[in-house]
Amino acid sequence: MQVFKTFLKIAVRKIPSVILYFVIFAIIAILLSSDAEQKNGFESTKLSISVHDLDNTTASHELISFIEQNHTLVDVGESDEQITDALFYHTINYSLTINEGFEQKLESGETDGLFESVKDEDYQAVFFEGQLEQYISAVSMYIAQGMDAKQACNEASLLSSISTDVTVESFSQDEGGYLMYFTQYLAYIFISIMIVGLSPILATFNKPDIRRRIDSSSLLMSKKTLQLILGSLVVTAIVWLAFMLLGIALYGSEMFTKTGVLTLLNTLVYIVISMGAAMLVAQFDINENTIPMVSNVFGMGMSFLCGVFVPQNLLSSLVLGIAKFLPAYWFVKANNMLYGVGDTAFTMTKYLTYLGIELLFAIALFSAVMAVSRSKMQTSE
Amino acid sequence: MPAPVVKIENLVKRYKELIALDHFSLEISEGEIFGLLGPNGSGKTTTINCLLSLLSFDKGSIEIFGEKMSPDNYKIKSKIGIIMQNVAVINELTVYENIDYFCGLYIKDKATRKQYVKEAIEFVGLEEFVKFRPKKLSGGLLRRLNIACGIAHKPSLIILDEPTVAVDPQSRNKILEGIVELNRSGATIIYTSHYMEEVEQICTRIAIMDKGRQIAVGTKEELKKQIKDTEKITIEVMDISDELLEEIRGLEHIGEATFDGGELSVKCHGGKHNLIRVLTLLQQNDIKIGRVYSKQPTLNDVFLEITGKELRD
Repeated sequence: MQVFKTFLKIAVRKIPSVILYFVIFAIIAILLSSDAEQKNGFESTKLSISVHDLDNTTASHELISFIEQNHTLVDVGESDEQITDALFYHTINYSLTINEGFEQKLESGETDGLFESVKDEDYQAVFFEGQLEQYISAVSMYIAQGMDAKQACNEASLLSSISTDVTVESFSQDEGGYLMYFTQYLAYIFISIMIVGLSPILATFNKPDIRRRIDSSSLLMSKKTLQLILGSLVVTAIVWLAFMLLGIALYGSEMFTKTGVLTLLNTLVYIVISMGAAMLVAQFDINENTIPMVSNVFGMGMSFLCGVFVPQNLLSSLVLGIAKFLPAYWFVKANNMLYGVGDTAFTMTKYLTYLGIELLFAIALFSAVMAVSRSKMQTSE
Repeated sequence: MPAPVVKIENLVKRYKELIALDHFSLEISEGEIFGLLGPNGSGKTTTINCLLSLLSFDKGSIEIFGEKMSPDNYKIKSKIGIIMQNVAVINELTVYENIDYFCGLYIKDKATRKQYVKEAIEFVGLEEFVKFRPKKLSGGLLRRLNIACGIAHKPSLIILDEPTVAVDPQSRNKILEGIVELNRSGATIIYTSHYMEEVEQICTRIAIMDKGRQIAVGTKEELKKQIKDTEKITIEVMDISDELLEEIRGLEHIGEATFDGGELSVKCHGGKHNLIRVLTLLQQNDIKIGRVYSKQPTLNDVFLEITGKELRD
């Protein structure tokens, strides 16, 4: 077991650089998954608005209180210069001046020339003007029905404050939302950490002169290969376990639900793919200093293409078409399906199909490793 | 008569159109320091790779210790030590761990291996550096580590493939002394180099290679006998007449005599006391003599004579 022992010895010596990656990746994973928590609610946007009431009537007061209910009123002064400055420095998003005769015009059914406004040319201004238009339409409607201005304004305010409970139907399950994000980012983390951690160890044994020395020794070739595979499996298992323990520490019992266990299985298959990728990288005589760069190209490239960082349903059909030829796509698809994100409802058959496709990628990678290794032996001849 | 340690017969190795080894044959006896001398690309490393079964060949046969060599003949492999041109050590391991690792590819028993590793460290004089990582060693010390990794398992046949390339003279001498020491302790050595001085210094027999062929083989004395000019005498003189030059040419064993730029050059074909006879003739003619040089032929001259080009072309 000389090769295996030396493999582990080298792995231990390389731990500091891998630990650094582990810590960075762990922090990223925690931050990204906690960020996901904040995305689970809806809240309407509140604008900063300055209002100048030149009418000073009941109707104008009602309008101001309507605005105050939905937005933040900011006093920036009344001069044009003060208003322009406030808009420039984004102290306010919108400045509204209620013209004199506002109430009178409303009562006579007029809706033109009620306000003057100075605003940013953005969607927020459009959003506010939409609200304002709705309110004035409602007031006009109530006045047309015979109400006075005050009553009409009260009714319009009430109308806009009517709320209803909405149930959002999704495939999503109640449990494990954060775990989904944590495991999703493992698609990036596993491939990166395996290439950074495992490839340099294997590359040491693949250096032409070291290889020549080992191959000319009395150690059986099959034993050497088996010991290298065993070493790779041990390193892979340690990385997987480390992240699973991190998952248990962060999300506890969620990891042991049915969905959690299926998630673990998905990550296990994916780390085997990552091991294959790391072994393939090690076959090429890449300088050790460029391995992190290779890991980033693989990790980031595949993650962006396959929907690790951006949801798959936001990616173009062209990108998704390309992504189908990459293992991370199927990993993310299975992961999304487990948590009801995306467009596929969970079925065990589909889950196993995705896992099967991932395994085919693993087989393809290991075949490529063997092919490159053989071709290198022939080339060296 | 004992079987040779290494027997190569009619070895042919082709790389597509290029013939790297062209019916190359060789026999090396036990206890020899056998030198494979030739310019870069002459086929030395290809021969070594074929010997170690790291390379397949198109024709011919290789026997080591009387047995046919093959990639899975681990019995023979266990008796061979290889020291390569490039330092082949693992940067993440210390000096001790490196030697222990490569020795462990041959020796399973821990106690024996420990003893062997200790002896190898002493042999190359790395006792003070056992805990150092290779990156902290100087070029010369690295070469010594490279040698220790190749010989720690006490092989009977040691192959050194240009082990002194880019090594300072002091370390080179140490390495050469070490090789002779290994030979004295019973190992047969195959030493490849394109440095003819080294090969002349330590090898008991030499094969000269060019374009994958063996162009000469023998002891250095036998090889030098193969060339016409066995001695070159150079004498500084003020002037010399054409008649006297002709008289020198008429001396026994003298082939050629020329005078140019205050130097008389005389090429001899065998014979003894050629220098004395030339000097005597000059004295008899009252020629004032400056400095005198007598140069014996080198292996480069042998190579030049046979191939028409310099060994280091």
